[in-house]
Formats: sequence, structure tokens, C-alpha cells
Amino acid sequence: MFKKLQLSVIVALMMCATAFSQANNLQGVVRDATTGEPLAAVTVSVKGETRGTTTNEFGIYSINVSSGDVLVFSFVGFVTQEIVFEGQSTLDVDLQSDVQLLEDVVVVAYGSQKRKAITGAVSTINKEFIEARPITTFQTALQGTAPGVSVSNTTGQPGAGASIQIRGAGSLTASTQPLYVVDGVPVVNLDASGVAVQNVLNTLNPSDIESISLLKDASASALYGSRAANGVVLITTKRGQRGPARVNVRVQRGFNDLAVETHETLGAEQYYRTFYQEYYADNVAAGQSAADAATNANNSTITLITGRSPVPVNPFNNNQPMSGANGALNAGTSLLYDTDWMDETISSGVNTEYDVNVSGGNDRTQYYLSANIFEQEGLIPLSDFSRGSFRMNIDTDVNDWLNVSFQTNNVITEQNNQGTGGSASNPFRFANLTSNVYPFFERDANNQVVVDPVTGEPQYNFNSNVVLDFHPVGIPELDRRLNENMRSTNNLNFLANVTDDISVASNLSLDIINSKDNFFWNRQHGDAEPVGGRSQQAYNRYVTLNVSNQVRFNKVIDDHSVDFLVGQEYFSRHDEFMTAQRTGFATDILTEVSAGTVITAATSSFSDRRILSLLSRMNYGFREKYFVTASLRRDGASEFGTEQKWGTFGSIGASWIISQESFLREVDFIDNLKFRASWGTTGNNSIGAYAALGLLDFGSGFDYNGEPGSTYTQLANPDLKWEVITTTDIGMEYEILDNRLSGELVYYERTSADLLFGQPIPVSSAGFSEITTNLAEMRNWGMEASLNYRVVNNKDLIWSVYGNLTTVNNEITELPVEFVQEGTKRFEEGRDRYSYFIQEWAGVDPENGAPLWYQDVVDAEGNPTGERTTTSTYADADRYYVGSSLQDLFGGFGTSVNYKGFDVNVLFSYGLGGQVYDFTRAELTHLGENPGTQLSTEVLDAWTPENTDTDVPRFGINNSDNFNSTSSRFLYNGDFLRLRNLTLGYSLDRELLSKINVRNLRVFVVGENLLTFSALEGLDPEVPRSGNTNNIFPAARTITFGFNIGF
Amino acid sequence: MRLLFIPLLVMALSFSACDDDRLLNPDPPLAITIDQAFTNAEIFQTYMNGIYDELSDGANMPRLVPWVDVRGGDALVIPTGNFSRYPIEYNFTETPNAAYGSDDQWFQAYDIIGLCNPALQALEDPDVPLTDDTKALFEAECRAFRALSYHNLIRIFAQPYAAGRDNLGVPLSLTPASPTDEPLPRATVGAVYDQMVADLVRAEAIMPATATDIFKWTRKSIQGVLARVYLDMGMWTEAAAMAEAALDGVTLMTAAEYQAGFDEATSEWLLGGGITADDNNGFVSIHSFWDTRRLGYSSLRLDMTFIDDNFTATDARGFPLLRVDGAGAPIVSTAYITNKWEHNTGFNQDEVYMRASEMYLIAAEAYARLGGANETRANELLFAIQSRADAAAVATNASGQALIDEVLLERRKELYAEGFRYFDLQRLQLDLERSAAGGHYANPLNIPFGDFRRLSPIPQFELDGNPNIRPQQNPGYGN
Repeated sequence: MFKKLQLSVIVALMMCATAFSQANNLQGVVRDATTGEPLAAVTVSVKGETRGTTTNEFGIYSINVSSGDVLVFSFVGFVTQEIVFEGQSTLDVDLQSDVQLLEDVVVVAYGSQKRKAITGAVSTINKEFIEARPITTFQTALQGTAPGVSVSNTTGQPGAGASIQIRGAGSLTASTQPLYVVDGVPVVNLDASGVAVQNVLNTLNPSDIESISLLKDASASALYGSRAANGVVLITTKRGQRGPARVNVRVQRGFNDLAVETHETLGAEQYYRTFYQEYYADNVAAGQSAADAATNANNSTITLITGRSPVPVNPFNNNQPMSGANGALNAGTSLLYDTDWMDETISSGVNTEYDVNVSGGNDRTQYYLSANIFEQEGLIPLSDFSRGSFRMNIDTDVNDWLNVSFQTNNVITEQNNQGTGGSASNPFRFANLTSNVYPFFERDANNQVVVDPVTGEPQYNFNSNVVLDFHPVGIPELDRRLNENMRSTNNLNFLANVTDDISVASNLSLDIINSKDNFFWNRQHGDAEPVGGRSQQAYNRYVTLNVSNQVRFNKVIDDHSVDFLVGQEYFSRHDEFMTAQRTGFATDILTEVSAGTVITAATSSFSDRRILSLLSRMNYGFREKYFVTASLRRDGASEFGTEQKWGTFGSIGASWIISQESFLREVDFIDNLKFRASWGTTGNNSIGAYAALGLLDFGSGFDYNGEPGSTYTQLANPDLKWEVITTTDIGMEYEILDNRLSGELVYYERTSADLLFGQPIPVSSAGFSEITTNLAEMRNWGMEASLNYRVVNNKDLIWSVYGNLTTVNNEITELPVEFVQEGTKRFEEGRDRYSYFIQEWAGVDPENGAPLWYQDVVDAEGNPTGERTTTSTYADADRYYVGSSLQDLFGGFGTSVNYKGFDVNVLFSYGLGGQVYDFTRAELTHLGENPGTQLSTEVLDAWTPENTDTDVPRFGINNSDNFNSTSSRFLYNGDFLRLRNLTLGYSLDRELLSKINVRNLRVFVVGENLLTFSALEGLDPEVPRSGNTNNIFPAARTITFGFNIGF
Repeated sequence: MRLLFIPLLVMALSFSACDDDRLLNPDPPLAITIDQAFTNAEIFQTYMNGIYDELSDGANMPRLVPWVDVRGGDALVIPTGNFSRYPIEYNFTETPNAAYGSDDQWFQAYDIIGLCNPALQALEDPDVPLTDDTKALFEAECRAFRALSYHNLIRIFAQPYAAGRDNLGVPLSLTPASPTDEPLPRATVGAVYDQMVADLVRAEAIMPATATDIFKWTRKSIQGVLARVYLDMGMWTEAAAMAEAALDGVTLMTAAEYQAGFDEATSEWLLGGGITADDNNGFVSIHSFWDTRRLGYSSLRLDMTFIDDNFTATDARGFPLLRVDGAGAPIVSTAYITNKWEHNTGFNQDEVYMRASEMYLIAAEAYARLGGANETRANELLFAIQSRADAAAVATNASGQALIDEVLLERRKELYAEGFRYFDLQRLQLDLERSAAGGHYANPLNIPFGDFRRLSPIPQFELDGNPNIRPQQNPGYGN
């Protein structure tokens, strides 16, 4: 009713206006000059007057004008055009999109800034790199797209987070992951479950992302103070645009398989023969006849591979399959089965995504609404991830000085996962380690497949001699390992323009994550068989509140521009945990905790973290060519010691746009040349919530004989504080050759001081062996380079190529102890933190085939003389520095082509240098030590008196040479090149589509990890370089087909 | 209107700025800060319970008891399938970085000492909110814990008292320490023994008679520890007196109870670890190591010669305890399997750390060494132990060295697998002799008294944090 009234008033006013002028009615269509698509909501106004209108959804406008009027056509993202009215009856206008303008504004800490005015290191990733890729988390999309950023997969489990490092690892023992900020609000980055690897960042639908900014140096990130040491990832979600509603629907479906083939291993026959031949040779040497030697060798081999299995294991159709020294198959002998456990375990998965969003708005209110369903099956049985999300982003002008916006994201995610690493419940480990001689389905003493008496289905075989009572498909089917997360993220923002120069922003954010583990270990097989099944239900809840207020003063006076920000922030995170567990189940069907009989866990706990902050930033620009940024943040953090509650972080940076100087303005080929330098400090606060307190712990572990107990578990540490990283960044940004070639070249240095470190203290003083101190120091430094070249840019063809590279060097500069051995790595002053310190492989003794390692020669007092010798006794081998997993160089490159309706995007990622310890390869090269455990094809080259020139030592039954113990033998070059993403798309002709009222229609195919070239065999090259390659789930190669339709 | 935002903002800023202290010091969930521990009687009680829990922790007594037997010759660890628990100890190849038992005891004993020292200091505060009785109880308990812990340490890492008071002992920590304090060097053996005596004498004197739960300290168990210490020190009169006080009024268990397996307290237990179904050490228990049915680790065996040569067929502690096969022959799996400790899958067996029988034998030994008229009582006590185990036993009424030897043999027979033999070898400065016939590995390792391996190395983690102890490492371990 009210709206109608308004309309009538406007119409009346227009009629008045008409009455007073010599008006002509002018009509026309406004189009995008590049695409030819009609543009809706373009403002058409008469210069100097208040009259105006906007185009409708077909780009058509109609306005009354007089001769000589200047018409102004303006629209966000396009170059404004002014045209003098000369009495035409129609006037069609093509607006040029202002690419320059769009790219120029970058989201930065607490706001946005023109790119040229930025003094720090900020890389941006646009939605084109994220949309439509079949990825569970946007983190995956960062690989290869920006310099300085290294992404590695901690597992191929769908829904797991990726490990991201910006400019190297800044800490020895604390987190090296960046801070994530979504729409201005810092968000938690964690696996909400204590068991499952489901990172909560996967609750963000990648299709909702408009842009990502990576803040890499202190000038860019110091405003985030004590949380910014590892860099900051700023994510901005999509907003509605003025104009009629647009509906976008995207549907896609894809298929996964292995990105990298697993290790090459022996088939059942060859596996059997390897052991048979060994026995045969021994028997002959012991004086047995050829026939006896063969019979006994067959019997021994079957006994050996049977191991602890209650029925004999024999993959052949008779008990004497082989004869002779070479293990020739006897007549009539054939394999009954040859179980390729990897093949049986790894199955091709499917991914499916439905994405719908609606956006639009009028002059005052814009909205973006989206819903997303995403499902991805992993390669491992019952490892999958699914997400259902709803987002609403609304921006509204309450009046001419107050804007309110609201973003809400409500999500449910579910993940089925399996055991990982060295655990017996890791199906991938089982598939890696179990030899083909064990049947997939259970077989009886006559080697017949055992079927379920009820269903008639064959039963899985749980009797292999490698991982007892386990089956890589059977256990996942019987067990349940489900983690469900629900998350609601809500941001309310006020922006008030108090005066023309002063604005006040206020942000309120509440983020609630509820996580539930729903686990059941069945009572028939595996881990919980001895206890009659085990059910565990765990509820974890994370509530984060963030309140932030900022005042901004922004003014341009002649040559000076000033942007001053002062603000205050409060962050609070409350975590709660509750677990219930029972064992002793009557059936595998009723699996709720209550159905169990023995309570084995009933626990609850919580933790609180809070940060109080004051922050300030000053941006100053002079004549648009000299810029200075200074920022300061003071954080009070609850985690730290009473003496160290508050810390101050700050930065200063400057940039000089030298191309604006008169002496360069005349140089034609230089469009933009900028030098920048910055320096500043940030902190790393990732330590336990109560790490500084002297604690008397009341956990149930200290009760005694039914009475409640407590004990002193943590020494008070009033001086405990954050790690501090000091960053220096010197860079050059350029745009040359008519803006066609652009890029940057940067030197950076990050010095980490006050690193958290467990300092040994005398146990004899108070019963504690170490105290966490801030005593270690480390340095990362290197270069970053990137370039982007627009080869062709015209109406039909846009073709560009891009690439980037990063080097990271690392050195531990101070350590309070001589060294720290962390698995295969050793921390020592003057070394990089990725240095392998392990036994050094010295080859095979050609005389007897024994493995050799290096050993120090010692003098009479037992001190090393500096000479080295070799030993075949592993226990005597000494450890040496034998390399590092630190890459020399990494990055990405690619190209994108738009030709008429076609679009192609190609992205490669690569890494050079750095060694990877292949844990699985070592396990598979046991040379007879672990009968039943799968063997790498390498053993076929094992030393024999005839084959002495080899790097594989002798084979032996129950071999005790320890060849596959940790040594440099299993270090491999980690160089790789990967076709990370290949997208092909075709958009149908718009004019054709407009006839059926369709705005756009694009069909596409996306390939992820299509090709991998790597010096590693059987191992994904993008595994974490921390050294843990212990049977982590393999990465997937995915091919996805889809279409996108817009109305 | 819009200018209103400025005062609003100022107000918001000032509101949130207040009470920083509370906001930035949130309370932890299941803990309080240590300075609150002694200001409340109930919390003080949980603190004391926590120390008991540490004593029966899987890394403390349950690990130490088998450690002592594995090194003592009468027991052995099976060479394979032992889960890597105790082969190093059996072979005497401990290093500062690799050990199972001695390094744990270093940590556990100093952990308990580190818990007792602040409590003892707090008890001196007149404002501590406890009744006088409770104060006396807690003080006696702390002193007893501290003495017991030093007694374990000194016997593992230092030469026996009889070898000289001036030998290097262990660091003597008696006051609450902070990480910034000067690290302690090793005190002398004499100083450590003097401190144990002082703590135990005081504890014995003030221990309330109302404390009778044998799963906690009682006056009797404090007297028992003091008797052990006096025995080490060769103070026979005092040792006999304390042992007599400890055994006074206690009924020995019957032979039948002895054979039932040591999993529940009997009349003669003086100190034990209370283990429950929902609060236990899992497989790390004395029972699990000695288990006969492979339900636990089942990795320890008895020297066959020790049993064959020393026990009559009717001695309840010998053959009747051996697990036998269907034909009634003792099961031999490299050596005898014994049922002295009965393991069950509920893991809830209580553990015994002191029995009255030991007190009989301490007193008997002390009287025998005093000689003369004391030998009557020595024989009386000795025969009480012998006749309880074997109805057919005949009193020898020996005298002089023969009596001493008989008491020592009886001690070995009565207390095997309970954590005594190796410490006795040390105290008596005897060589360790093993025979292949008894089931020990081929080429059995004999370690004479005085061999460097008879003392354990001070663990690496202590050396890392304590520069003052580095020059004092026991000989043979890299110094």
C-alpha cells in the first residue's frame, strides 16, 4: 500500500517535470561492450540534474530529455559514459567494463584498499579459481595460484583440511597454519572431532567465495596481531548486485580414481616363489634331494604364510605347487586367487554437487542467497564427505548514512572416515601391507570359499597374517565412524558515515559449531572384538563470539590522502566436550551407547580463550605516488603468563609508484612500476588455553582406590608468551607493455623469535622434566616472483598465461639444547628444520649381500676420529645429516583462453628439490623379515651370488638384517609437476538464449590432478614435508562434468 | 542523529575495556591453580590421594617390582614375545637413553618427592585449614612417601650403604623447587639414609593410630620401611625393634591363602596398592607380567634350579604354585611358570608392597646378626615362616653364620617375585650368578658385585636438565 503511494508520488512528480520542459522521449539499450549482453540497473541520468532512471532487465531505458542535455550512463564495474543528446529517437550504448577498476580494489585487513596504495604483500585469488572445482575445501584451490603459498594434503580423506604454509613454517613446535578471516571475522580452523579429520573450514561452500586475499607480510597482517604470525587468509563471500534477480543453477557430477599409482608389488605366485626358492636353496645346501627339497620348501612356505591363520593359507590349487630351483609351477597347478588388496580396497568414488544461488536488489538493498549440496566419495571404503549449506548475505542502506549488512551461513557436514597412519584400522595400510597370497574371501581347510549360511554371500577373510582380525572392506562395513558437524555463522555489520570524513563500523559475530562423533566398533572382528563391541558418542561444541568496533577517518586534501583507523575488538571462544563410551554389546544392530553393558568412558570438559585488542592503522598517500602504512595492535590474550598477558605488534611499510614520476611518465612501455618495503611484527598464540598456569589436575587419572585424587600436572609459567615473527618484505610490482605484462618480484625474510620450546629441567628438583619456554629462534627467507601476460585481448579471444615461483630457505638460529631429534628429523642450530638425521645407506656388500650403513671410526677413548667405515649391523650404524625435505622451489603456472563461447583454464603446480622419506616403500622392502607382508618388486633384484651389483640386499626367511629400518636408502627426490586443474567450458550464444529467457548456459568439464610427473614411485608428491608419509590416504584424480544455467 | 554514534562508540569502548583481568584469566575446567591446593581440607585430601595414585602408577611400583626380580637371578624374562619389556634389564644393557624401570623410577620417585615437599611446607603454615590429627596424618604420609621414594632411588642408582657412607647417592630435594633454582648435585649415600631415617622416625612418631587402611600408610607400614632402612644400614637392634613393632599383632596368612594368588589383601599385608576395575594400570601390573595364561604379558619365568634345589615338594610356595600340564608336570617354557600372582582380565588385582612375613625375616636376620641370646627369637621367627609354608618343616635351631644363611635363604624363598632379590644382592654385596640349567639363556650372564652394570645409569632426561649432575654419572655410562 505504502509502496503504491510512493510510486504515485514519483509518477506525479515526473508528470510535473514533463510539463515544464521541451522534452523528447529517448529510448535505448545498454549493453556490455565485451560480451554484448544487455546490462540491467544501469543508471541513466541527466548531468547536473536530479532526473534519472535505470535500465530494466533487458537493458532498456526510457528517459525524457531536451536537446543539449548530457546523458550520463554509469554502472558499477564499467567506465562511465557521457553522451550529448542531439535529438535522436533511440540511443544504444555499449559500456566498457572497467577491468582496471575492479582489480584495483583489494580486500585487506579491516577494509579494502586500492592495490596501488598497498605497501605490504597481498596476493589475491579470484573466484574463477575456486568455482566449480570439485573440492571439499577452498584451501585446495590455493595450490599453485599464488606465490609464497604451499599447500599439502594431510590425507586423501574427503573433508579433511589441507596444510597451508605461507612463506615457510614460522614455528618449530606450534602451529604453522595461517589465520582465516571470513567477511572480516576470524574463524576457527580445527578438526571439530577429536577423532575424525574433518576440518571445519569445509563448512564454507567454495562457490560462495568472491575472492581470497592472502596477507603475507607484517604490513598486511599486523592488524591481526598475536594470531597473524603465519599469515592471514581473508575470504570475502559474494554479495547481491543492484538490478533484477539473477538465478544461477549449477549441477555437476564427477568420478575419482587414484592420482598416483601405489607401489609396485608382487603377485601371489611371485610372492610364494620368493620364499619357496629361499627354502629350496637351504634344503639343497643341507643335502636334501631335489624332490625332497621341493616338497619341504612347499610345506615350509605354506606354513610360513599361514602364520597365525587357523586354516592353512595356500593360493594354489594343490599343496605342492612348485618344484626345482626356479620354482617352476608343477603340471596342473594354477592360482585359486591372487588378491590385489589395493585394487580391492580402492574403489572409484563419485562426487556430486548442486548449487543454486539467487541474487539481486534495488538501490538500497541487495541480497545473495545460496544453497549447496556437495557429496564426495573417497577412494577408501566408507570414506566420504557431504555438505548441505545455506547462505544469506544482505546489504541494506537504512538511510543515506547508515548501511547494515548481515551474513549467515548454516551448514551440515557429514564425514565417514577410517583409521589412519599406522593404526590397524587403516584400510589403506592393510592394502599396502598384505600380500596377494591371502584370500579376499574366507576359505576353509579345503580351500573352498566360505559362504554366509543365511545370505549365501561369500564371507570376508579376516585371517591374514599381517593385521590380525582385520579386513579393509569388511571392517568398514561392520563399523561406523561417522562425524557430523553443524555450524551456524552469523555476522551483523553496521557502517555509519558519521560525517563525510568519519565513519564508524561495528561488527558482531557469533559462530556456533556442534560436532558429533558417532562411532561403533563391531563385536565380531577387529579392535573391539575382545570387549564385545564398543560404541562411542562424543559431542563437541565450539562457540566463538567476536565483537569489533572501528572508527575511520578518511580525507583527501589536495595532494594528501589520509586514512586513519582506530578500533577495538573482543574475541572469545568457548569449547565444550562430552564423551560417552560403553563396551559389551549383545548385537551389532543396536549400537547406541545405552545398549552396551560396561561404561568405559563418561567425560566432559571445556576450555576458554579470550583476546582483548586495540588496533590502529594509518594510511597516508602523497600525490598518488608515495604511500606509507603504519599499523599497531595491542592484544591481551588469556593463554599467556601473568607477566606476559599483553603484547604489542606493529608494522610500517612504504611504497613508491616510480612510474608516476616525471622521468618515467614518458616511457611508453611502462604503465605502472611500484617499489615497496615493509617491516613489522606479528605473533603466534597457538598454545594450550591454560598453558601458563600451575595446575592441580582433577582428571580421573589421579583417583586412588575409589577416592578422588588430584595431582600437580603443570608447572606455573608466568613468563610464557607468544612467538614473535618479524617480517621484512621488499618488492617490485610492474605493469608494462600496455598493461599486458604484469607481476611482481619480492624478497622476504621472516625471523621467528621466542619460539615455544620444551626446555629440559632437572627431574630431581620437582618431578618435572621440562618447561615450555620461549627460547628458540629461526629464520625463513626467500624470493617470490609472479607474472601474468595477456597474450591476446580482443572481443573474440582473450588469452593469458601466468606463473609464479617461490623459494623458501630455513635456518634454526638458536636452540637452548644441542639438538632435538623429532622422528627422522633433527633440529640443530645452523641447520634447516627439515634436515633428515638418520642412518646413512652405504650399499650392499657384494661379497655376501648384507646391507651396509656408515659408522664412525672411534679411537681408544670411544671418540669419533672423523673417519667413517661401514657396518652390516644396523644397531652399530651412526646417524648423519643426509638431506632435507625443504623444497628449493615451488609454485604454479597456467593459461586461460576465452575464445568466443569457449573457455579453457589450465593450472600446473610444481616443486623442485627436497627429499621425501617413503615409509611404505621401506615397509614393503622387508626382504623376508615379515612373512606375509607384501613385498615391493624391488626384491626381485635382491642380491644373489650371481647378482652382486645391486642396491637390494640378500633375501632371507625371517631376515634379521634390518635392511628396511630407517635409513637414507628410502629417501627419494621429491621433484614433481602436476596438472592440478584443467577446465574446459562452452557458453551458448546469449542472443539465442535470450529467446528462451535464459541469461546464460555453460557446460563444462573439470579435471583435478589429471597428470602427475614425479620422481617418487607409489607416493603422492604433495604429502606433508614434515616427514610423515605413513600410509596416508592417497590423493584422488577427479573428472567432473557439469552445467551452469542462469536466468 | 548520526553524530550520536560517537558517544555510543565511546561508551562501548569503555564498557569492554573494564574487567580485563577477569576476562583474560578464565578458570580451567578440571584443575585449579596449584596455590589453591592447600587452602581447603577437601582439596588437600585429593592431593594426598593423588600421591597414593602415583605410587601405584604403572610406571612406579608395578614396574619396579618385576625389575628387581628380573635382575636378581631367581627370575628371567623370556627371550622373545616379551613385548620389549625387561630384556635390557635382564641383560644389564641399560643406557641413559634406554631402560625400562630405573629411568621410570627416577621420574616417579622425584614426582612423589616433588608432590610431598610443597605439602610439607604448607603443613608448617599455622593457617592451614586442617585439624591437628589430619595435619599429623598428612605430614606422616608425606614423610613416608618421601622416604620410600628415596629408598627406591638409592638402591637403584647408588652403592649400598655398607659400601660406604661417602659414596655418591642421589640428589636430595627437600623443599619446593622452581625451575629457576640451582639444579641439585648428588648427595652422599649417608646423607640420603640419614634423611630417610629422620623422615621415618618423625612419621612413625606422629602417625595417628586411627590410620589402619593398609592401602594407605599406617604406623605399621612406616615401621616396616624404617626396619628395611635400618637393615640396609646394619643397625640390627633398631631394625629388629621396628620389624617387631610392625609384625606385632599381625596374623600371617595361611598356606592356602598364599597359594590363592596375591590379588587381594590378606591379614598380613602391611602396605598395598589399591587397584580397581575402573582405575587400573591395564597390562602394566605385576600380575600381568607373571601371568601364566597369556592373558597378560606373561613374560616372566622362575629359575628352575632355584625351585628344584630349595623347595620341598610340600612347600606351599614352591611346586604347588607351579602351573602344571595335564600330566601334572610343571609347565616349562624356557623356565617354570608360577601362579604366585593371579592375573585377571578385569585388571583389578590389588598389589602388595609389604607383608608381615618380610618383617619376620628382617627381625630374624637382625637377631641372627646380633647373635647370642637373640638367636632364640631369630629361630622362632624363622620357623614361623617355614612352618606356615610347609607343615612338614622341622626347626633347625641353627646358630651363627649357619643361622644367618638360613634366614637369608628363607627370605629368598618367601619373597621371590615380590621385588626383593636384586636389592638383597646389592645390600649383601653378592655376585649375580645364573645357570643355563635353571632356564637362563645360553651363556648366562654373571655380573659380579662391583661391575659397573650393577648400578643403573642416571637417565638422559635428568642429565639434559641438570648440568650439575653430568660429571656425576655412574661409571661406565659414557663418562
